This record gives sequence, structure tokens and C-alpha cells, in this order.
Amino acid sequence: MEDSKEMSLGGIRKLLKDLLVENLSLEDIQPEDIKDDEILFGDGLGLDSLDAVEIVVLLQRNFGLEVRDMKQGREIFYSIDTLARYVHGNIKK
Amino acid sequence: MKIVISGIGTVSAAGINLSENLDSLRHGKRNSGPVSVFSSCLSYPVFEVKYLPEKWKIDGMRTLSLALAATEEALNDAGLPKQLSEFKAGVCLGTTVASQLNDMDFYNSFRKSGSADLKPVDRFLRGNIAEAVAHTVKAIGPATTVVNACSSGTDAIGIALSWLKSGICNVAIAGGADELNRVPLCGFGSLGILSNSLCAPFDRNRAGLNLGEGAGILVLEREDFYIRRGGKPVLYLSGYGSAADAYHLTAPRPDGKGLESALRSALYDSGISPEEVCFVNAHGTGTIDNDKVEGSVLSRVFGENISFFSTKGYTGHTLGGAGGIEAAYTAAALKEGWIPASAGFACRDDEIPLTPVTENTDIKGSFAVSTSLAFGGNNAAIVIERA
Repeated sequence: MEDSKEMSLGGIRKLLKDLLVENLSLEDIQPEDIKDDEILFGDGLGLDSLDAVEIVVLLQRNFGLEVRDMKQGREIFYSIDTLARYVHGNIKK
Repeated sequence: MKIVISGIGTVSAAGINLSENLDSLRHGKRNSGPVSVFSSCLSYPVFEVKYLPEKWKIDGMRTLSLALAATEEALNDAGLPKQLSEFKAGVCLGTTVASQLNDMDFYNSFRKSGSADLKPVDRFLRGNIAEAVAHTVKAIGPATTVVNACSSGTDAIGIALSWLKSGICNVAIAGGADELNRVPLCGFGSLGILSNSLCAPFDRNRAGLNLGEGAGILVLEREDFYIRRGGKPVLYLSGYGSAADAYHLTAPRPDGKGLESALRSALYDSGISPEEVCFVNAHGTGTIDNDKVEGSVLSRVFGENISFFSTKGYTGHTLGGAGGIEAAYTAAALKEGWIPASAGFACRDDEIPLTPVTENTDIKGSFAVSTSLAFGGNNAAIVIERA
């Protein structure tokens, strides 16, 4: 059971990396180059506030998720891993 | 360095391509009707594009669709490929609506429930038309969207001219596009300048403008680059001028000094005198103020015998698209040697010192001018030359 949950989480991480590279036009990066604990903003991937809006849009479009609380948003958007865990825990079947 | 107009593309209520547009002008076809591209209780006549090719239909992004359709035609006309990554190509496009005013549902939903479908946000982010067109055609040079109200298209063409002259690109896609949209329709209606009947530019009984939609695109190239790839220049973009009124948000300067300055600047940029211009494609919206001021200025600069007309009787006022569409018409008219009757004109206004052409007229000559006057008081003019 734990294994399948981990695989599913791993699958979401990979999907998120693909979606970020594609939707944010991250041209010099391949999805497989992004570390699981890569920090999204600041010194990690270096995303900006417009990219944050794009992520909110892609979460709704691909997973049916809405991030309403911006304080919560800061924690969710910290890294690939925190984003993946949020999606994994809340995804609408 | 001369700058060649190597390709022209245009889509409007008058037609889906340049040839259909010119046919409508030649036969006096005014394809207006009530608003149908969105629901509206307003009954002003408008000029809608009747048919968009399936491949360019993008939901909620009609301005971009129009721009892409016209760009495809222009690139084809220029004999350039659909992807421009091997050239240093720039994109400079004017618009007012862009594809970024289709968000009323978002606001309604968000106000009611604090939540909304984010598709309009997505469209907003992807709706910068120069960026979107550059992405589609893989143009890797400069890209700028010009938002200067009704002179956007002409200004975009002028900016592209300066890029090419300075050599920061060899090719440029330049012009403008705008879709018919609820926001400007309601806004212009509130200003009291929409006519309840077909517009009548420069006519004594003119009662306002009709809104329209469309796109007009020129492909511009440095002459050395164009000749090297086997082209034989026929048309040139020979000058551009721009000047602001610094007067009022929506009314032109009564003395027309801003437009006069822009015109003289464009003529100087081309190295020609007013006598060498064989016709003017005027802004001519059909409002009391615009036509009075513009008519007086044209008379002052070119004399009372200048042949001039407005094509807004065939297309409506396409806002950001106007400068592009009218540049396309001016170039085509110069090349083919005829100008269309100024649709909607019947009676001379004694307060305007000249009258537009009232029937299709053959012209001989090498230079023509297209003018645009904008809310906010921007005035722009371009000069086109026939080889």
C-alpha cells in the first residue's frame, strides 16, 4: 500500500515537472534535470510571480484543484515535493 | 536603406483576404449588421468578420485568431516560410482589446463565490498578440505589442520601420488586430459617438462611427535582404511620423496641430513634399470632431484638390486593426492604380474645406499616405511608395 502511494506520488512529481517545463516555457531545462526537492522560487528554479499565476491555472486545469488561501499557497509552492504532496493529497478522482 | 513591403494580409468584414477586401471596396459592399459575436442588447450596426478559417479559431482569443489569419496570408504573399527561425524576424503589432477583455464571466463568478474557472486568466497570460504571433511563426527578433488606441496599428508599422532601418532585424511582421468586443462597444456607446446607422465619414450629416473588427499585416524587409533572397521590390514603406496633441482624452485638438506635425514628420522622413502625394487614406471615422479636424489638416498640408477617402465605411472602425488594415489598402491601391469611393459620403460639410472621392478613381503617382488619430491625442501617419 505504502509502495503504491509512493509510486503515485512519484508519478505526480514527474507529471508536475513535465507540466512546469511545458507551461512556463522553461527552455533550458529538461524535466528530468529538476530535483525532487528543487525550490520553485528564488534560488531554485527561479520562478516569478507570473509563473505563480500559471501554476495556479495549471493546478485547476490538470487536477481540478483551487488554492484559495495564499498563506497555505506559500507552503504548497515551496518545492516540487511540497507541490506534489499537495496534489497527491487533494486530487479529485 | 529602403524598406520593402513584401507581403500583405488582411481580414475584415470586407473579406477574408486582401483580394476579397479589394473586391468589396471596388463594388461598394458594406457588410454590416447587428452584433452577433457576443450577446448584446445594443443595436448599433457593426462590421464583423464573417468567416475565420478553422485552423486559426482559438476559443476566447478572437483578436489573436484574426492576427494569425492575416499573418499567414502576408507571409505567403511575401514568399516566406511559415516558420521564420532562420531569419532575424521581428513582430510589432497594435491592438486595443488584445484577447484580454473576455473575462466578464470570471469576474461575475469570482464576485459571487470567490472562485472561478481560470481559463480567462490563462488567455490573459497567452494573449499578448506580438508574443503569441512571434511564438507561432518562430520569430526570434524583437517583439512588441503597441497599445496606443486607434493609432496602434500605424504606430506598430512605424516602430517596425525603425527596427529595420537600424538593422536589429531583417524582416518584420507589422500591423494591427482587434476583435469586436463588449467593452469597447459599451464604452464607445457611453461616449455617445456610435452611429445608429451606417457611418458617413466627412458627410455633413455624419452621426458617429461604427465599430468593426479585423487585422491588417504587412511583411516588411530591408531591401538588401529582400533582393538577396530573389525579390523584386514593388512597394516601399518610405516614412513614418507621430505626434501627440497633449489636449484631451477623447477629442482631437481643434487646430489639428498634432496631426499636422505627424504628417509633416512622415513626409520629411520620406524625403518628399506634399505635392508628391497622390492620395491620402484618411482616418475618417465619421464622428463630428475627427472628420472636421482631419479634413482641415489635410487641406492645410496637401491643398484642397488632394484625393482622399476613408475606408471605415467598408470595415467599420477596427481600433487597433485600423492602422494595419488601412496600410494594407493604401499599399494595394497604390500598386493597382485605383482608389475606392469614400463609402457613406453624400453631402459636403461646409465646415470641411474638401470632399472625399465619391467614385472609384484611377490614380497615377508614386506616393500615398495613411493617417490615424487616436483617443489620448496620438496622431500617426505613414508614407508608402511605389517603385
